[in-house]
Amino acid sequence: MILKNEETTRNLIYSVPGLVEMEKSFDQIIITGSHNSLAEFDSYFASRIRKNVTDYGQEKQADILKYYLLTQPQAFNNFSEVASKYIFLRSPSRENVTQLARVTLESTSNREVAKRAIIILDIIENQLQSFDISTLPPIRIAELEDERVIIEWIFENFRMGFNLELDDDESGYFQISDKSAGEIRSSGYLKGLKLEVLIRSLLTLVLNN
Amino acid sequence: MVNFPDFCIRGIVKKSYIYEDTETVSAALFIPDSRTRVTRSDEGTETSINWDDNDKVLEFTLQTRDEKNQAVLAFPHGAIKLPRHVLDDVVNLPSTFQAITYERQEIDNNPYHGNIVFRAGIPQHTINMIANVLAAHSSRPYRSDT
Repeated sequence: MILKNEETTRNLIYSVPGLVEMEKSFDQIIITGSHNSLAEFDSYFASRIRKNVTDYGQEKQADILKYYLLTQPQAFNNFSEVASKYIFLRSPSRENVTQLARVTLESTSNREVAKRAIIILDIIENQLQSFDISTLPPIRIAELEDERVIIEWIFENFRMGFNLELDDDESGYFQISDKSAGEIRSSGYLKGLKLEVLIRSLLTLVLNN
Repeated sequence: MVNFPDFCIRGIVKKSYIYEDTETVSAALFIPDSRTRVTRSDEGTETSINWDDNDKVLEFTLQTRDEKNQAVLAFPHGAIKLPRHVLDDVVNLPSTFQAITYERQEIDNNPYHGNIVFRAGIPQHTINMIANVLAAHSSRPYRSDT
C-alpha cells in the first residue's frame, strides 16, 4: 500500500496542508457546479468564488491556488507540479493600477493618512485580481496643502475615489459620472461602512464601463 | 443684478494638480481654501476664480503675478476654463442642491475676480464630490505663451 504522502504523482499536493481539500473542492465544483464544500476557505474568499460563478458561470481554479500561495507561501518550495495542474494567472498590469499612487504616497506628508490610503489600494488591488484590467487607468493621489489626501481614479466618463481627512471620521468616498454613464452623483462617509463591501460596490461602475 | 459670463477660469498653482499624461486636472484644484471661512459672514469656503468676461481674461490670469513675489507667476502651471452651466447643474441637482453658490468679488488689480463658494456645514465628502464634478468638466490646461 502506498501512503498518500508517498504517491509519486501527487506527493506535492499531499505535502501541502489543506491543498488536498482544496483540490476536492475544485473537483466538486467542476463536476457538479456545486459550491457546498467551501468550509476550507475563509468567508471572504468564499464570497469571491460565488461572485466569480455569478459573473462568469464558471470557477477560476487559478484564483483559489493564487489565494493559497499568497496566504501560505511557506508551504511551497517548488510548486511547479501544482502550477502545471492549475493555470496560474496574473495580469501584468494589475500592479500598475495602484503603483503610481503607491509611489506618490511614499512622499506625502502625513504618514497616518498615507497608511489609510494604502489599505484602500490594497483592497482595490485584491478585488481586481479576477478581472482583466489591462485597459484601466492608474489610480492617482492628490495631496492638499493641509496634508489631506484625495485618491482619484479618473476615467473618460466617470471618476471615483476617496477623501482621506486628518480626522478619519470625516473621510469619505465619491463617484460621479456623466450622462453616458448614468450621471451618478454619490458620496458618503467611510465611517460605519465595511471598506471591502464599499469598494466592491464602487468597482461595479469601473468594471461595467 | 450681477451678470456672469458663460465660463470661469481657475488658475493652477501646483503642478501636482495636473495629470499631464491625460491633460486632466485633479479635484484638488477645486477644493476650497478652508482659511476663507473666517472672512465670510456666511462661513462658506471659497475657491477663487476669474470670470471670463472677455477674450483677454485668460491671458490676464496666466500673467498674474504672485502677491508675495512679483517676479514669479501666480499660476505657473496654467489655468483651465469651466462652463458656468456646470456650476448651475451642481446648484440645481437634488444630490448637491444649493451646496455651492458663485459670486463676483473684485479685488485690487483684478476686476474679474470671483469665487465658487461652498456652503458652510456640508460634509467634506460632498465637497470632494463637487470638486470632482468641476474637475471632470474642466478644459485642458491652458498655458502662457511667454
